Amino acid sequence: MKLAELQRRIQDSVLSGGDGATPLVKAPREGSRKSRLGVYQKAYPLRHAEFLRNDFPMLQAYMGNEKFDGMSKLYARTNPSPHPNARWFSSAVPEFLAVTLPFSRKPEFSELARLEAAMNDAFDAADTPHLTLAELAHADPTTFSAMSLLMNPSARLLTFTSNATSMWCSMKAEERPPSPITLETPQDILVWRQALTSRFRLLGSEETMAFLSARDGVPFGVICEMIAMRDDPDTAGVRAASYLRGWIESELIVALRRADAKGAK
Amino acid sequence: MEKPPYLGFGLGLRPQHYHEILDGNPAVDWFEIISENYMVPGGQPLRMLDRIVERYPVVMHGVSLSIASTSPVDKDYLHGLKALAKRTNPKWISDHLCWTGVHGVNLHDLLPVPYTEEALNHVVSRIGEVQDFLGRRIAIENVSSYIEYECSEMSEWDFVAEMAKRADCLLLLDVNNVFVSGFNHEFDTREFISAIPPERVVQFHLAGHSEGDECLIDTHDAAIRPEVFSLYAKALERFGEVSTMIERDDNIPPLAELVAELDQARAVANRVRRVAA
Repeated sequence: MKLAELQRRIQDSVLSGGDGATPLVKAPREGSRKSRLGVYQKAYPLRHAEFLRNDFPMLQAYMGNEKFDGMSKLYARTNPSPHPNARWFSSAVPEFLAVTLPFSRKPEFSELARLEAAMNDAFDAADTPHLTLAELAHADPTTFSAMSLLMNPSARLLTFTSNATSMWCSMKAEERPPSPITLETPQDILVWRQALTSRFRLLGSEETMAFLSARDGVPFGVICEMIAMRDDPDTAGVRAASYLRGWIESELIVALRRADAKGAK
Repeated sequence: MEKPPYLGFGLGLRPQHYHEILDGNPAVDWFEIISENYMVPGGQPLRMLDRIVERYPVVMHGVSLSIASTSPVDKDYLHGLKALAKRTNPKWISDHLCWTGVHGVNLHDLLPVPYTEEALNHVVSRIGEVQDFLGRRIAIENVSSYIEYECSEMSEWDFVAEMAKRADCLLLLDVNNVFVSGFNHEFDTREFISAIPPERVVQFHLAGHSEGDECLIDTHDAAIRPEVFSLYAKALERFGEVSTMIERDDNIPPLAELVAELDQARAVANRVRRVAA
């Protein structure tokens, strides 16, 4: 038998748990061909469940071990890893939970997974420099409003319809999570890394608008005008300055750029 | 053939031990990193690795090269491996004599190769391709296996020895894997060791294993068994001074416990050296 055919049949057998490759295995003196191949077949879902346990500890705590392991086995069987690096095996879990019954009946499963996946992605995202308040103090005030902010590319904005963030916080504190609810207004969550730690926080609708505009390269002066049009214009400057300060202190801004500079987006 | 330097006694670098290593200056001569754990864009893993590399010699050990796969070599993976090597300046780079998947799937397991002339030609060609890309020899490790194939035409040790010669590669001899596979397939582990060309062996792996229903399983979750230390002594008698390290991937104990186990390996090596002298 050709090597390629042997590998195809062994792989199919490991993924399916079937007996199709058993004749390829030499009979051992102790045990059977089937049981020896079974070592690889049994290890496959167990190993992949471990990958998911490492990536989604709060989802596991919320689902419970039995349900989580069942979900992991189903995911591993239907989503074999396309990546040489197991680090990215779990990347499709949030979508899997959103579209696969019975998990899709509970949107908080998918949203908890999205939150943990975003924090995992932030954890080992590319290193970038970050603007400091001291550097901002040296910026030219006459041109500042025309500058855009180069935001940290690893920052992610999520929108949730459940109280998954409250659940995450409770479980992180080893407390009983609140019952799932559907929020009256969807919640915007910013996920990013500060120094070496992944973080998230809720954003109000105005800050979400400002953050998305900044990420799109809109000059900061224009963002200030948008904030003034959105709510009390008398306090718009204070609000804009507060967002800017928060982003700088959170290491969310890589640098200032002239708004027309290449790479401002 | 110029061999990489002898490094002494090392451990697998695991995140649980980062701070103990950086704060405590443990009696470890070098560290082996799992290459894939650091083939990420940035963040804490690479930051910690940079600090370890400043203090200790490092070797890179991969699990996804899939050298025996009949799918094309993953060029993106090789680029990542090369970039990591540039960053860490490893004394050598190793991976396993196995395949991990075909047709765009990675099973994240180390599946054994049928020991056939076709597979040998294929593996030799792939090692050449990888060595040309990386611009250096790589070390190939024997795996623990739970099956043998009906179509095999030669022994594992004859395959490994011929592969090393034809591909002009280095070898990483996993002593525990020889023991586990020897038990599972009822071969004489001394015959395996005596067939391996000493001039190509740059590293030994030691690890713990566990007992499955019918065979031994290479779990890396327990202390090294006395029988494996005995086989390690036999390997030292044949290969002389070889860089040795302990792999531990589950039930990871405090660093001091692994350092104490490393001292056991040192003691075995000292005993063998005294007898030889």
